[in-house]
Amino acid sequence: MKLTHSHTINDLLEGCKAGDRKMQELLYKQTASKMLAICMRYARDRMEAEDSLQLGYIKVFQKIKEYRGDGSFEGWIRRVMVNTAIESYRKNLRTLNVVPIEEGYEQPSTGFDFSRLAMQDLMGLIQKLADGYRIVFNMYIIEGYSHKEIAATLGISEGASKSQLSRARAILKEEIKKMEGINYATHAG
Amino acid sequence: MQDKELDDLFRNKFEEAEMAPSGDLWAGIAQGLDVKPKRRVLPVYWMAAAVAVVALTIGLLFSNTDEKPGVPAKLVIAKAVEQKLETPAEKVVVAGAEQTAVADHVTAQAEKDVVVPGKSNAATTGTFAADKVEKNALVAMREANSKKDLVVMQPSGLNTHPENTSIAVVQQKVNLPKAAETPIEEIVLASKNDSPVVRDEVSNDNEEASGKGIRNMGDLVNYVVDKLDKREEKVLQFKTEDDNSSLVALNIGVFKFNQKKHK
Repeated sequence: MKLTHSHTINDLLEGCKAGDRKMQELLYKQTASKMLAICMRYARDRMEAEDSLQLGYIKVFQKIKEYRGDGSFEGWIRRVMVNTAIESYRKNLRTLNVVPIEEGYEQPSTGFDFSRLAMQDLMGLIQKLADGYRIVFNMYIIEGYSHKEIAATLGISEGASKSQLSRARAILKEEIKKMEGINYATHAG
Repeated sequence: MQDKELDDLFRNKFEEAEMAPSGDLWAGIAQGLDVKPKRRVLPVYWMAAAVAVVALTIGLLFSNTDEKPGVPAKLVIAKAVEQKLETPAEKVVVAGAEQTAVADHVTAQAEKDVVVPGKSNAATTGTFAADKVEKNALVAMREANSKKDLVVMQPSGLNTHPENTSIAVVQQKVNLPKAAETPIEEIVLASKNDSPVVRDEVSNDNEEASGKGIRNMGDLVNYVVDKLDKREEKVLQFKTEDDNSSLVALNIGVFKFNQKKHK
């Protein structure tokens, strides 16, 4: 099934480069669900994510001639989507929260199977994070940017990037523990 | 929970994550794609520049008594005619190229004028080369990028009152091609310090010219530019004596060249 998908979107590439509206719509339909998940990670809520999605696709179709075939087409679309999300964060000049929180010490593993947590649960957690923590967490952990790259992109210091990341992690761990507690309670016995 | 556990958890869950978008989103995208191409509205200021250039070439055509070396009238006409007005930027380039000869004998003056004020904290470090700067400015004009820069700059000049604020605004908004950056900054600093003086002189010249009628190419240009460019420091300005005219002010982008008068 996946193989057919990537074949299809490559076929659509030429049509999209030519500006064929039908082809563009097909490309959108086939990639939008993945791209929305990306936008949701960066946004505070669904509405913001969908705005970002629309803007992202507009950019995709406007810049499509820049795609030279190095790397997968889907990978290129993803990058455009991520860059759009980052740019809109920067434009809105959201301040990076520097609220100090108590850094929890590393808890020993409780043996809880975290993979049982649904993607939706994690999405909810990440959206609850303050903007600054969320964007750095996304860029570092999911997109794989280095702290140096994050610092350059967001206009902050490398140190700030690192501390944002560690705070994001700390908060997320706390939140997951809470969920774990809930899960244990309902599944125990 | 360890860091690695957390990272892996999120990475794994999000890697191939999918979420269904609302059905009406495509319409918004299609709309965004339809609207965009129409953004190229020809700004009025380019019209102004184009008119000034046309006046220039006409003036060169008809001036019999100017002593500017190396500006054959025929060459100018040929060039002007050849280059259809695809983009106004090209016309400005033509004028710029032709004006090299005119401006040359003024650069020597400029060098003298700008270097003299010791109070200027422009830190020109003695390496202020008017020729190099002027050439750079012309290079900047020649490059396609300059089109964008000029558009950015001129609106701010025309809309705001010609006080010091216009300089500040210009400095923020312009991004010239890299080659020209350093030397041009020096000039801007220099003129900024001296501008109050310069401005008065410049406006006097203007009134003078119009008082005596249009006698030569410089007057013609001044007249046209005066009508269109309402700032104190105009995009370009000529000092005109009866038969002769020479370029005394050129304000394009960050490059501001205005002649000072010593008493």
